[in-house]
Amino acid sequence: MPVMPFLSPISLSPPSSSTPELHHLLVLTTVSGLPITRTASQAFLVRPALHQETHSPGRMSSRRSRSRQMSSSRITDEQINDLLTKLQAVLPEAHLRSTDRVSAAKVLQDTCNYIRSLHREVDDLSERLSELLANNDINSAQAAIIRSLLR
Amino acid sequence: MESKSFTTGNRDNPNTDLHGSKNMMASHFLRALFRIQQTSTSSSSFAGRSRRIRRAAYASMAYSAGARRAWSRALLRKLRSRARLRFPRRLSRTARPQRRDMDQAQVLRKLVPGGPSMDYCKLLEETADYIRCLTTQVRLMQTVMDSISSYAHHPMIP
Repeated sequence: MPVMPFLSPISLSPPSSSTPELHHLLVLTTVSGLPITRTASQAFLVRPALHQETHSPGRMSSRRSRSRQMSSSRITDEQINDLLTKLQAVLPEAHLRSTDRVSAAKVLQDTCNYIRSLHREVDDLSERLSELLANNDINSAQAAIIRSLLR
Repeated sequence: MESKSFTTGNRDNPNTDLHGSKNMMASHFLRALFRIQQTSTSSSSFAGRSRRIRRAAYASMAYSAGARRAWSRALLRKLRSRARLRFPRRLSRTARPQRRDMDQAQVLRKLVPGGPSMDYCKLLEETADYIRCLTTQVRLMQTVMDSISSYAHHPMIP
C-alpha cells in the first residue's frame, strides 16, 4: 500500500524568531507524522488473532471445544457490557452514572444524541470562525493562537 | 467561562499519545484556516467559507486518527471523493419507542463514518473513539475562536 501523504506541505510564512512555539508545533507535527505508515500496516495484522483460537490444536474434550466455539463465534454479553461501559465513559456527565450493568438502549440513545449535538457544534463553530476570518487577519494572531493552544 | 481548554480536556496524563495526535489535529486545522483566509476574497460567500472550515475540521480529525480507525478511513474516503459531507441530523419522524438496542444501533450507524459496514461490537468501539476525537476537535475550534476574538480586542496581551 503506498504511503499516503497525510501532511500537506507547510504553506505558512517561515517562523520568525519571536514565535518559537509555532516552530515547535510544526516540528511536533512532522515527528508525530512519521509512525503513521507503520501503524497503517499494523492495523491490517490485528484481525487474524480472532481466528487463531479455533485453529490451535488442543484437547478435544467437549467442554473445551464448546467454550472455544462460544468465544469465537458468539460474542458474550460481558463483552458487550464492557464496550457499552467504555462508550458511556466518553459521554458527558459520565462520572454521575453507576458503573454497574448499563442499559444498552439508554447508552445508545444518549450516544446518538451526543453525536448529533457535536455535529451541530462543529457546524456552528465553523460559521463563527468564518465570520472571524472575514473580519480579522489571523496571520497576525498566529503567535497568540499557538500560545493558547499550548497552554 | 471557558469549560475545558484544548490541551487539558483529558483528565489523563497529557503525555499519552493522544497528545501527539492533538498537536497534529491542531496544526492541520490551523494550516487549513490560514489557507482558507488567503484564498478567500471579499466576494467569497460566507456559506462557502463556513463549508470549507467545516470540511477542514473533519479532515484534521480524520488525519489525526489516520488509517488506524475504521471511522477515520471512511471519513478520508468521503473527503477525497469530494462528495458533500453530510451526517443525518433529523431524528426519525416515526418516533417509535425502541424496544431492542439493535434498532438504535442502526441509528448510530448512520451517524458514525463507516458505520453501516461495522458489526455491533466494532460499532461500539469505533463510536467511543469517534466521540473522543469529535470532542477534541470541538475544543480545538473553541480555543482558536476564543484566541482570535481576544487578540482582536487586545492585540498586545498574550
